[in-house]
Amino acid sequence: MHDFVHAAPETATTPARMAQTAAHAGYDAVVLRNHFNPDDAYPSYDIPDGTGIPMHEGVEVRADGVEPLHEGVRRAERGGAEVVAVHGGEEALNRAAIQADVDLLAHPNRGRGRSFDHVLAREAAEAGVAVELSLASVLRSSGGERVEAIRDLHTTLKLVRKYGTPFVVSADARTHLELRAPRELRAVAYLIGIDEEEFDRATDETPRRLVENDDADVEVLDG
Amino acid sequence: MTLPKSLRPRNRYVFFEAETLPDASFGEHDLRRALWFEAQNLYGDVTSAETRAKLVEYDGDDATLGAGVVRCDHDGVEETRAALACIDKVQGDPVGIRVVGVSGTLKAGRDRYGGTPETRETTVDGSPAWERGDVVDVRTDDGFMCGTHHDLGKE
Repeated sequence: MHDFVHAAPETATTPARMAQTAAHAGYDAVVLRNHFNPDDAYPSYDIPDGTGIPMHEGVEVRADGVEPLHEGVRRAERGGAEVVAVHGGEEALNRAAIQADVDLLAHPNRGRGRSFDHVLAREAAEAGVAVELSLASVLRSSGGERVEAIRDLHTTLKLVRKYGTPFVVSADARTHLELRAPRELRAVAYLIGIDEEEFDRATDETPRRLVENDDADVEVLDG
Repeated sequence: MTLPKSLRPRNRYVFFEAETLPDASFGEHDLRRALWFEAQNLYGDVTSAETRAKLVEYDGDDATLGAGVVRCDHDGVEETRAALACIDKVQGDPVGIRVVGVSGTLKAGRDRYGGTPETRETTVDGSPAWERGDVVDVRTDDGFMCGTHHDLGKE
């Protein structure tokens, strides 16, 4: 079981603390994905030895236009990011992320209206770009905001099922207190309609492939 | 009036730990209300009535890791997990709740899952800090920096 998290310097929990908490809760590995704005310096993580479980160093490129997004993705790939994610939510950025063939399109349906539709779901499936179903708003909001988030998740789920788009499920934790144990996350996911088999694939097989794919790329480059 | 044994509700006891920041001040009563409201909001009256989740005890005094027990119906453990997972703040204090085990009786659960490590007050580079085993929360100007002995000094 994997989760995709944010940590220091972006938040007030260090990567080592994230790893300690995740290992204690029963995770096999954690993927760090701090936001990376292409105007800023490339993020680095302070990961001490002996964190207990593997910590994969990824980034989530957050850009406000298609050109900056491509620039951010290029820099992330050159920087050796193990997982390159894109902060989704707007249709143009979602499409650009898929065309850039990134590893993961994070929360594609967070924007207003239909920012992730049947066309993008099919393109993502063909490009092998995974889509994130973030449970952040289910876990950490309530009322109308949560209803809307669950409706967005239902829509995304329907699309990824129809087109066979790979997807991951995450708590999108920014601190160790926002991390949830695997069985609790499974219970929440089940409640909103993600079945057991889908959950296993979304938190184990698919994240593992995202991380391993990258290793393969690096080997090719090294050779 | 007592129901025959075969018709009485069957209970499960969900043992959990609740991690907080050192300045969290909520108590058992606040957490009981938080669980009640979360279940209401998440799946409503009908499922809440079936699930019967109720906090029976919680001790989080003077520690960054509290422990407690929720009693629920034996068919309602997964719903209870979901409601506990969706509690992200109690009285404004951020909290991370994780289930450590489920038991058929309080006594068996206490024997198996009881006890949390102690939190000790200390200092890191002159700032007040709270350590618990390998982890340490250090007070900063705008809150806490949460790490381990590996990265916040004090090997």
